[in-house]
Amino acid sequence: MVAKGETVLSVGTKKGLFVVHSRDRRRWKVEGPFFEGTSVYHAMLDPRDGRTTWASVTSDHWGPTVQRSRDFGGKWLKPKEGPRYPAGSSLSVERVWHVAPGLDGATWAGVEPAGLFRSDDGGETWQGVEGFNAQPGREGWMPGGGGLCLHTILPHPKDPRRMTVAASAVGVLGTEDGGATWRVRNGGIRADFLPEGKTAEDQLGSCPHKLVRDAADPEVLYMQNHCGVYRRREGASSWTAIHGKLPSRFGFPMAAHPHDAGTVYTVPLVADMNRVTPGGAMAVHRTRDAGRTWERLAKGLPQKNAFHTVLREGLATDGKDPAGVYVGTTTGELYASRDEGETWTAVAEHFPPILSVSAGVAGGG
Amino acid sequence: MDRVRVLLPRSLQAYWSGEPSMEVEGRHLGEVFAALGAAHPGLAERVLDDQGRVRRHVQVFLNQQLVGDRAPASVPVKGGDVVHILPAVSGGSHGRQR
Repeated sequence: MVAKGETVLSVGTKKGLFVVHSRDRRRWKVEGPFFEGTSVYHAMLDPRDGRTTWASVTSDHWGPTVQRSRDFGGKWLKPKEGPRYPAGSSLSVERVWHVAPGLDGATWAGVEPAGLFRSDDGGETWQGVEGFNAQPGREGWMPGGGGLCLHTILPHPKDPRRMTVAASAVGVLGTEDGGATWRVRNGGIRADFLPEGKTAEDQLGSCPHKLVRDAADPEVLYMQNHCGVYRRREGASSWTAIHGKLPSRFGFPMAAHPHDAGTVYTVPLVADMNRVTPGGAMAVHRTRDAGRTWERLAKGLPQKNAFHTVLREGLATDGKDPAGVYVGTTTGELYASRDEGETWTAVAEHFPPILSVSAGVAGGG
Repeated sequence: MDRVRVLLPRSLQAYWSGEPSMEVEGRHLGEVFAALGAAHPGLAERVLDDQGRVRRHVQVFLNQQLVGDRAPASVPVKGGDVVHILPAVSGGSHGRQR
Protein backbone atom coordinates (compact mmCIF):
# COMPACT_ATOMS: atom_id res chain seq x y z
CA MET A 1 0.00 0.00 0.00
CA VAL A 2 1.13 3.52 -0.76
CA ALA A 3 1.34 5.78 2.28
CA LYS A 4 0.82 9.51 2.39
CA GLY A 5 4.01 11.43 1.75
CA GLU A 6 5.69 8.66 -0.21
CA THR A 7 7.29 9.38 -3.56
CA VAL A 8 5.27 7.58 -6.20
CA LEU A 9 6.54 6.69 -9.65
CA SER A 10 3.94 5.79 -12.26
CA VAL A 11 5.81 3.65 -14.79
CA GLY A 12 3.97 2.88 -18.02
CA THR A 13 5.34 -0.06 -19.96
CA LYS A 14 4.54 -2.07 -23.04
CA LYS A 15 2.97 -4.73 -20.82
CA GLY A 16 1.21 -2.80 -18.10
CA LEU A 17 1.54 -0.12 -15.45
CA PHE A 18 3.76 -0.32 -12.38
CA VAL A 19 3.35 1.91 -9.34
CA VAL A 20 6.72 2.17 -7.60
CA HIS A 21 6.81 3.94 -4.25
CA SER A 22 9.24 4.85 -1.49
CA ARG A 23 9.31 6.68 1.78
CA ASP A 24 13.00 7.62 1.58
CA ARG A 25 13.76 7.35 -2.17
CA ARG A 26 16.31 4.67 -1.29
CA ARG A 27 14.19 1.55 -0.92
CA TRP A 28 11.39 1.08 -3.38
CA LYS A 29 8.35 -1.17 -3.50
CA VAL A 30 6.69 -2.23 -6.72
CA GLU A 31 2.94 -2.61 -7.16
CA GLY A 32 1.51 -4.13 -10.30
CA PRO A 33 1.54 -4.71 -13.12
CA PHE A 34 -1.89 -3.22 -13.70
CA PHE A 35 -3.49 -3.70 -17.14
CA GLU A 36 -1.29 -6.72 -17.63
CA GLY A 37 -0.19 -7.29 -21.19
CA THR A 38 -1.46 -3.89 -22.36
CA SER A 39 0.57 -0.83 -23.31
CA VAL A 40 0.34 2.10 -20.92
CA TYR A 41 1.72 5.03 -22.85
CA HIS A 42 1.48 7.55 -20.04
CA ALA A 43 0.43 7.55 -16.43
CA MET A 44 0.62 10.19 -13.73
CA LEU A 45 -0.32 10.76 -10.13
CA ASP A 46 -2.48 13.85 -10.20
CA PRO A 47 -0.62 16.60 -8.29
CA ARG A 48 -3.91 18.28 -7.50
CA ASP A 49 -4.88 15.62 -4.96
CA GLY A 50 -1.92 13.20 -4.78
CA ARG A 51 -4.41 10.37 -4.92
CA THR A 52 -5.79 9.98 -8.45
CA THR A 53 -3.65 8.02 -10.86
CA TRP A 54 -4.45 8.58 -14.52
CA ALA A 55 -3.42 5.95 -17.03
CA SER A 56 -3.56 5.98 -20.80
CA VAL A 57 -4.17 2.33 -21.65
CA THR A 58 -3.99 1.18 -25.25
CA SER A 59 -4.98 -2.26 -26.40
CA ASP A 60 -3.92 -2.98 -29.97
CA HIS A 61 -7.17 -4.90 -30.33
CA TRP A 62 -9.71 -2.97 -28.30
CA GLY A 63 -8.43 0.57 -28.63
CA PRO A 64 -7.51 3.28 -26.13
CA THR A 65 -9.04 4.36 -22.84
CA VAL A 66 -8.06 6.79 -20.12
CA GLN A 67 -8.67 5.12 -16.79
CA ARG A 68 -8.15 6.40 -13.30
CA SER A 69 -7.70 5.00 -9.82
CA ARG A 70 -8.14 6.70 -6.48
CA ASP A 71 -6.35 4.02 -4.50
CA PHE A 72 -3.08 3.55 -6.39
CA GLY A 73 -4.36 0.73 -8.54
CA GLY A 74 -6.76 -1.12 -6.26
CA LYS A 75 -9.69 -0.26 -8.49
CA TRP A 76 -9.71 1.34 -11.91
CA LEU A 77 -12.55 3.45 -13.26
CA LYS A 78 -13.28 3.46 -16.96
CA PRO A 79 -14.73 6.51 -18.67
CA LYS A 80 -18.36 6.59 -19.71
CA GLU A 81 -17.32 8.11 -22.98
CA GLY A 82 -14.29 9.19 -24.92
CA PRO A 83 -12.00 10.59 -25.79
CA ARG A 84 -13.46 10.00 -29.25
CA TYR A 85 -13.57 12.05 -32.42
CA PRO A 86 -17.08 12.96 -33.60
CA ALA A 87 -18.89 10.72 -36.08
CA GLY A 88 -18.41 11.99 -39.59
CA SER A 89 -14.99 13.49 -38.89
CA SER A 90 -13.18 10.52 -40.51
CA LEU A 91 -10.86 10.42 -37.49
CA SER A 92 -10.62 7.80 -34.77
CA VAL A 93 -8.49 7.97 -31.64
CA GLU A 94 -5.82 5.26 -31.88
CA ARG A 95 -4.05 5.98 -28.61
CA VAL A 96 -3.78 8.60 -25.91
CA TRP A 97 -0.21 9.89 -25.66
CA HIS A 98 -0.40 12.22 -22.70
CA VAL A 99 -2.68 13.18 -19.81
CA ALA A 100 -2.14 16.49 -18.04
CA PRO A 101 -3.81 18.30 -15.16
CA GLY A 102 -5.19 21.72 -15.92
CA LEU A 103 -6.57 24.65 -14.00
CA ASP A 104 -10.17 24.87 -12.78
CA GLY A 105 -10.46 21.12 -12.42
CA ALA A 106 -9.98 20.33 -16.11
CA THR A 107 -7.90 17.35 -17.22
CA TRP A 108 -6.39 17.24 -20.69
CA ALA A 109 -5.57 14.39 -23.04
CA GLY A 110 -3.39 14.44 -26.14
CA VAL A 111 -4.19 11.76 -28.70
CA GLU A 112 -3.20 10.17 -31.97
CA PRO A 113 -4.07 11.24 -34.64
CA ALA A 114 -3.09 14.58 -33.20
CA GLY A 115 -5.90 16.00 -31.15
CA LEU A 116 -6.70 17.61 -27.83
CA PHE A 117 -9.48 16.63 -25.46
CA ARG A 118 -10.57 17.85 -22.06
CA SER A 119 -12.59 16.39 -19.23
CA ASP A 120 -14.40 18.52 -16.69
CA ASP A 121 -15.91 15.65 -14.71
CA GLY A 122 -12.90 13.78 -13.46
CA GLY A 123 -12.47 11.64 -16.55
CA GLU A 124 -16.04 10.33 -16.91
CA THR A 125 -16.49 12.07 -20.26
CA TRP A 126 -14.19 13.85 -22.67
CA GLN A 127 -14.86 16.64 -25.13
CA GLY A 128 -12.74 17.48 -28.14
CA VAL A 129 -11.21 20.93 -28.41
CA GLU A 130 -12.61 21.70 -31.81
CA GLY A 131 -10.51 24.81 -32.24
CA PHE A 132 -7.50 22.50 -32.40
CA ASN A 133 -8.97 19.26 -33.70
CA ALA A 134 -10.82 20.76 -36.64
CA GLN A 135 -8.42 23.55 -37.53
CA PRO A 136 -7.94 24.24 -41.23
CA GLY A 137 -5.00 22.45 -42.76
CA ARG A 138 -4.93 19.43 -40.49
CA GLU A 139 -5.46 17.19 -43.49
CA GLY A 140 -1.90 18.12 -44.46
CA TRP A 141 -0.33 17.18 -41.12
CA MET A 142 2.35 14.53 -41.48
CA PRO A 143 3.22 11.91 -38.86
CA GLY A 144 6.60 11.42 -37.23
CA GLY A 145 8.16 8.00 -36.88
CA GLY A 146 5.95 7.17 -33.92
CA GLY A 147 2.76 8.45 -35.48
CA LEU A 148 0.84 11.73 -35.71
CA CYS A 149 0.62 12.31 -31.99
CA LEU A 150 -0.12 15.18 -29.66
CA HIS A 151 2.32 14.32 -26.89
CA THR A 152 2.91 17.46 -24.87
CA ILE A 153 0.31 19.58 -23.09
CA LEU A 154 1.49 22.58 -21.09
CA PRO A 155 -1.35 24.56 -19.56
CA HIS A 156 -0.19 27.94 -18.32
CA PRO A 157 0.05 27.65 -14.54
CA LYS A 158 -1.85 30.86 -13.90
CA ASP A 159 -3.95 31.69 -16.97
CA PRO A 160 -6.48 29.03 -18.04
CA ARG A 161 -6.84 30.64 -21.46
CA ARG A 162 -3.23 29.95 -22.37
CA MET A 163 -1.68 26.65 -23.31
CA THR A 164 1.17 25.30 -25.40
CA VAL A 165 0.98 21.89 -27.02
CA ALA A 166 3.31 19.93 -29.25
CA ALA A 167 2.54 17.31 -31.88
CA SER A 168 4.81 15.25 -34.10
CA ALA A 169 5.41 16.05 -36.81
CA VAL A 170 3.27 19.17 -36.78
CA GLY A 171 5.18 21.38 -34.36
CA VAL A 172 4.52 23.61 -31.39
CA LEU A 173 1.20 25.42 -31.19
CA GLY A 174 -0.13 27.87 -28.64
CA THR A 175 -3.49 29.30 -27.69
CA GLU A 176 -4.33 32.41 -25.70
CA ASP A 177 -8.10 32.19 -25.93
CA GLY A 178 -8.88 28.91 -24.27
CA GLY A 179 -8.33 26.79 -27.37
CA ALA A 180 -10.60 28.60 -29.82
CA THR A 181 -7.64 29.58 -31.99
CA TRP A 182 -4.06 28.37 -32.24
CA ARG A 183 -0.82 29.83 -33.58
CA VAL A 184 2.07 27.80 -34.89
CA ARG A 185 5.34 28.50 -33.06
CA ASN A 186 8.02 26.76 -35.11
CA GLY A 187 10.31 29.67 -35.87
CA GLY A 188 13.99 28.87 -36.29
CA ILE A 189 13.85 25.16 -35.58
CA ARG A 190 16.28 23.06 -37.57
CA ALA A 191 14.51 20.60 -39.89
CA ASP A 192 16.93 18.29 -41.68
CA PHE A 193 14.03 16.55 -43.44
CA LEU A 194 12.76 19.73 -45.14
CA PRO A 195 14.44 21.42 -48.12
CA GLU A 196 14.55 24.76 -46.29
CA GLY A 197 16.59 23.28 -43.48
CA LYS A 198 14.59 25.04 -40.79
CA THR A 199 10.96 25.98 -40.18
CA ALA A 200 9.52 29.46 -40.28
CA GLU A 201 7.39 30.60 -37.36
CA ASP A 202 4.08 29.71 -38.97
CA GLN A 203 5.33 26.72 -40.94
CA LEU A 204 4.05 23.29 -40.05
CA GLY A 205 6.20 20.19 -40.17
CA SER A 206 8.60 20.45 -37.25
CA CYS A 207 9.04 17.39 -35.04
CA PRO A 208 9.11 18.34 -31.36
CA HIS A 209 9.73 15.40 -29.05
CA LYS A 210 9.07 16.95 -25.62
CA LEU A 211 8.59 20.42 -24.16
CA VAL A 212 8.70 21.63 -20.58
CA ARG A 213 8.21 24.94 -18.79
CA ASP A 214 10.89 26.54 -16.66
CA ALA A 215 10.01 25.89 -13.02
CA ALA A 216 10.69 29.45 -11.90
CA ASP A 217 9.55 31.34 -14.99
CA PRO A 218 6.64 29.66 -16.82
CA GLU A 219 7.06 32.05 -19.74
CA VAL A 220 10.21 30.15 -20.71
CA LEU A 221 9.91 26.88 -22.61
CA TYR A 222 12.52 24.26 -23.41
CA MET A 223 12.20 21.72 -26.20
CA GLN A 224 13.91 18.51 -27.19
CA ASN A 225 13.23 18.40 -30.92
CA HIS A 226 14.10 15.77 -33.50
CA CYS A 227 16.79 18.12 -34.77
CA GLY A 228 18.03 19.89 -31.65
CA VAL A 229 17.43 21.31 -28.20
CA TYR A 230 15.87 24.75 -27.89
CA ARG A 231 14.72 27.47 -25.56
CA ARG A 232 12.12 30.16 -26.12
CA ARG A 233 10.37 32.86 -24.15
CA GLU A 234 6.64 33.22 -24.80
CA GLY A 235 6.08 36.11 -27.11
CA ALA A 236 9.35 35.61 -28.97
CA SER A 237 9.20 34.91 -32.70
CA SER A 238 11.70 32.06 -32.82
CA TRP A 239 13.49 29.39 -30.82
CA THR A 240 17.12 29.63 -29.69
CA ALA A 241 19.31 26.56 -30.12
CA ILE A 242 20.96 25.37 -26.89
CA HIS A 243 22.35 22.00 -27.98
CA GLY A 244 25.83 23.17 -28.84
CA LYS A 245 27.55 21.55 -25.86
CA LEU A 246 25.57 18.31 -25.93
CA PRO A 247 27.03 15.13 -27.47
CA SER A 248 24.05 14.96 -29.83
CA ARG A 249 21.19 17.13 -30.99
CA PHE A 250 18.87 14.13 -31.07
CA GLY A 251 16.93 12.71 -28.15
CA PHE A 252 13.42 12.22 -26.90
CA PRO A 253 12.69 13.15 -23.31
CA MET A 254 13.06 16.33 -21.35
CA ALA A 255 12.24 17.11 -17.73
CA ALA A 256 12.33 20.37 -15.81
CA HIS A 257 13.73 20.77 -12.34
CA PRO A 258 10.73 21.30 -10.04
CA HIS A 259 12.06 24.50 -8.46
CA ASP A 260 15.26 25.86 -10.00
CA ALA A 261 15.27 28.33 -12.83
CA GLY A 262 17.10 27.43 -16.01
CA THR A 263 17.46 23.79 -15.03
CA VAL A 264 16.33 20.99 -17.31
CA TYR A 265 17.40 17.42 -18.00
CA THR A 266 17.62 15.49 -21.25
CA VAL A 267 19.03 12.21 -22.56
CA PRO A 268 20.94 12.65 -25.83
CA LEU A 269 20.89 9.71 -28.23
CA VAL A 270 23.36 9.19 -31.06
CA ALA A 271 21.09 10.20 -33.96
CA ASP A 272 17.73 9.55 -35.53
CA MET A 273 19.36 6.74 -37.46
CA ASN A 274 20.75 5.23 -34.25
CA ARG A 275 18.57 5.96 -31.25
CA VAL A 276 20.82 4.76 -28.46
CA THR A 277 22.97 6.43 -25.83
CA PRO A 278 26.32 7.60 -27.23
CA GLY A 279 29.41 5.48 -26.74
CA GLY A 280 27.48 2.63 -25.20
CA ALA A 281 27.25 4.64 -21.97
CA MET A 282 24.07 5.77 -20.25
CA ALA A 283 23.92 9.41 -19.16
CA VAL A 284 21.46 12.13 -18.32
CA HIS A 285 22.53 15.67 -19.13
CA ARG A 286 21.59 18.73 -17.09
CA THR A 287 21.79 22.44 -17.68
CA ARG A 288 21.52 24.93 -14.85
CA ASP A 289 21.86 28.04 -16.98
CA ALA A 290 19.10 27.60 -19.52
CA GLY A 291 21.25 25.71 -21.95
CA ARG A 292 24.45 27.75 -22.03
CA THR A 293 26.33 24.84 -20.48
CA TRP A 294 25.52 21.18 -19.86
CA GLU A 295 26.78 18.62 -17.34
CA ARG A 296 26.94 14.90 -17.99
CA LEU A 297 25.45 12.96 -15.06
CA ALA A 298 26.33 9.28 -15.09
CA LYS A 299 27.53 8.13 -11.67
CA GLY A 300 25.76 4.86 -11.03
CA LEU A 301 24.45 4.50 -14.58
CA PRO A 302 25.92 1.72 -16.76
CA GLN A 303 28.94 2.92 -18.72
CA LYS A 304 29.85 -0.14 -20.76
CA ASN A 305 27.81 -1.88 -23.45
CA ALA A 306 24.82 0.22 -22.43
CA PHE A 307 23.08 1.10 -25.68
CA HIS A 308 19.85 2.45 -24.25
CA THR A 309 16.83 4.23 -25.63
CA VAL A 310 14.78 6.54 -23.47
CA LEU A 311 11.43 7.58 -24.94
CA ARG A 312 9.85 11.00 -24.72
CA GLU A 313 7.96 10.29 -21.51
CA GLY A 314 10.81 8.33 -19.94
CA LEU A 315 12.38 11.09 -17.82
CA ALA A 316 10.83 12.78 -14.80
CA THR A 317 11.52 14.82 -11.70
CA ASP A 318 9.66 14.83 -8.41
CA GLY A 319 8.77 17.94 -6.44
CA LYS A 320 11.05 17.31 -3.49
CA ASP A 321 14.12 19.18 -2.28
CA PRO A 322 16.68 18.01 -3.27
CA ALA A 323 14.84 17.01 -6.41
CA GLY A 324 14.60 13.39 -7.44
CA VAL A 325 15.20 12.50 -11.08
CA TYR A 326 14.00 9.28 -12.71
CA VAL A 327 14.72 7.66 -16.05
CA GLY A 328 13.36 4.51 -17.68
CA THR A 329 14.69 2.68 -20.73
CA THR A 330 13.10 0.58 -23.42
CA THR A 331 15.08 -2.37 -22.06
CA GLY A 332 13.08 -2.16 -18.84
CA GLU A 333 15.63 -0.49 -16.59
CA LEU A 334 14.44 2.17 -14.16
CA TYR A 335 17.00 4.42 -12.46
CA ALA A 336 16.48 6.94 -9.69
CA SER A 337 18.52 9.80 -8.30
CA ARG A 338 17.67 11.44 -4.98
CA ASP A 339 20.30 14.16 -5.39
CA GLU A 340 19.24 15.97 -8.51
CA GLY A 341 21.04 13.60 -10.84
CA GLU A 342 24.47 13.54 -9.20
CA THR A 343 24.22 9.83 -8.40
CA TRP A 344 21.93 7.07 -9.61
CA THR A 345 20.71 3.67 -8.44
CA ALA A 346 18.75 0.99 -10.25
CA VAL A 347 15.19 0.64 -9.01
CA ALA A 348 14.16 -2.07 -11.47
CA GLU A 349 16.15 -3.87 -14.13
CA HIS A 350 13.78 -6.29 -15.76
CA PHE A 351 10.56 -4.39 -16.40
CA PRO A 352 8.92 -4.64 -19.82
CA PRO A 353 9.98 -1.86 -22.21
CA ILE A 354 9.35 1.41 -20.38
CA LEU A 355 7.19 3.91 -22.22
CA SER A 356 6.79 6.54 -19.52
CA VAL A 357 7.92 7.58 -16.07
CA SER A 358 6.28 10.25 -13.94
CA ALA A 359 6.82 11.17 -10.31
CA GLY A 360 4.54 12.51 -7.63
CA VAL A 361 3.91 12.54 -3.91
CA ALA A 362 1.09 10.54 -2.36
CA GLY A 363 -1.45 12.72 -0.71
CA GLY A 364 -0.11 15.83 -2.43
CA GLY A 365 2.79 18.04 -1.53
CA MET B 1 -37.18 -8.58 -33.83
CA ASP B 2 -35.68 -11.99 -33.23
CA ARG B 3 -32.71 -12.38 -30.99
CA VAL B 4 -29.12 -12.83 -32.10
CA ARG B 5 -26.51 -14.56 -30.01
CA VAL B 6 -23.22 -12.72 -29.51
CA LEU B 7 -20.11 -14.49 -28.30
CA LEU B 8 -17.53 -12.25 -26.64
CA PRO B 9 -13.82 -12.77 -25.96
CA ARG B 10 -12.53 -13.11 -22.41
CA SER B 11 -10.19 -10.17 -22.98
CA LEU B 12 -13.22 -7.87 -22.87
CA GLN B 13 -14.52 -9.29 -19.65
CA ALA B 14 -13.98 -6.01 -17.81
CA TYR B 15 -17.03 -4.71 -19.66
CA TRP B 16 -19.60 -7.36 -18.77
CA SER B 17 -20.35 -9.90 -16.10
CA GLY B 18 -21.43 -13.52 -16.34
CA GLU B 19 -21.04 -15.76 -19.33
CA PRO B 20 -19.29 -14.56 -22.51
CA SER B 21 -22.47 -15.05 -24.48
CA MET B 22 -25.49 -12.79 -24.64
CA GLU B 23 -28.56 -12.34 -26.77
CA VAL B 24 -29.58 -9.01 -28.22
CA GLU B 25 -32.06 -7.77 -30.77
CA GLY B 26 -31.19 -6.16 -34.05
CA ARG B 27 -31.87 -6.10 -37.74
CA HIS B 28 -28.26 -5.59 -38.67
CA LEU B 29 -24.88 -5.64 -36.98
CA GLY B 30 -25.00 -1.91 -36.29
CA GLU B 31 -28.06 -2.44 -34.12
CA VAL B 32 -26.49 -5.50 -32.52
CA PHE B 33 -23.46 -3.49 -31.42
CA ALA B 34 -25.67 -0.64 -30.24
CA ALA B 35 -27.64 -3.09 -28.15
CA LEU B 36 -24.44 -4.49 -26.67
CA GLY B 37 -23.35 -0.98 -25.76
CA ALA B 38 -26.71 -0.16 -24.19
CA ALA B 39 -26.55 -3.27 -22.04
CA HIS B 40 -22.87 -2.87 -21.13
CA PRO B 41 -21.54 0.69 -21.25
CA GLY B 42 -18.23 1.03 -23.04
CA LEU B 43 -18.39 -2.38 -24.69
CA ALA B 44 -19.37 -1.20 -28.16
CA GLU B 45 -16.52 1.34 -28.16
CA ARG B 46 -14.05 -1.49 -27.69
CA VAL B 47 -15.26 -3.19 -30.85
CA LEU B 48 -15.99 -0.13 -33.00
CA ASP B 49 -13.78 2.88 -33.60
CA ASP B 50 -14.93 6.50 -33.44
CA GLN B 51 -16.49 6.25 -36.91
CA GLY B 52 -18.43 3.11 -36.20
CA ARG B 53 -16.07 0.80 -38.09
CA VAL B 54 -14.94 -2.49 -36.66
CA ARG B 55 -11.47 -1.89 -35.22
CA ARG B 56 -8.54 -2.88 -37.39
CA HIS B 57 -7.41 -5.81 -35.25
CA VAL B 58 -10.86 -7.13 -34.36
CA GLN B 59 -12.53 -9.90 -36.33
CA VAL B 60 -16.31 -10.23 -36.45
CA PHE B 61 -17.81 -13.46 -37.75
CA LEU B 62 -21.48 -13.91 -38.59
CA ASN B 63 -22.43 -17.57 -38.57
CA GLN B 64 -18.72 -18.33 -38.89
CA GLN B 65 -18.33 -16.14 -41.97
CA LEU B 66 -15.89 -13.23 -41.68
CA VAL B 67 -17.67 -9.88 -41.90
CA GLY B 68 -14.47 -8.11 -42.92
CA ASP B 69 -14.52 -4.37 -43.41
CA ARG B 70 -18.18 -4.08 -44.30
CA ALA B 71 -20.01 -1.36 -42.41
CA PRO B 72 -21.93 -2.97 -39.54
CA ALA B 73 -25.18 -1.34 -40.63
CA SER B 74 -24.85 -3.02 -44.02
CA VAL B 75 -24.76 -6.53 -42.58
CA PRO B 76 -28.29 -7.87 -41.94
CA VAL B 77 -28.91 -10.42 -39.20
CA LYS B 78 -31.90 -12.59 -38.35
CA GLY B 79 -33.11 -14.57 -35.38
CA GLY B 80 -30.87 -17.43 -34.44
CA ASP B 81 -27.75 -15.92 -36.03
CA VAL B 82 -24.50 -16.17 -34.09
CA VAL B 83 -22.04 -13.25 -34.01
CA HIS B 84 -18.53 -14.02 -32.88
CA ILE B 85 -16.22 -11.14 -31.81
CA LEU B 86 -12.55 -12.08 -31.63
CA PRO B 87 -9.18 -10.35 -31.31
CA ALA B 88 -7.28 -10.80 -34.56
CA VAL B 89 -3.91 -12.53 -34.50
CA SER B 90 -2.53 -9.45 -36.30
CA GLY B 91 -3.01 -7.27 -33.25
CA GLY B 92 0.19 -7.89 -31.35
CA SER B 93 2.18 -5.03 -29.87
CA HIS B 94 3.58 -2.76 -32.54
CA GLY B 95 6.04 -0.93 -30.34
CA ARG B 96 5.76 2.30 -32.30
CA GLN B 97 6.23 4.57 -29.30
CA ARG B 98 8.78 7.29 -30.02
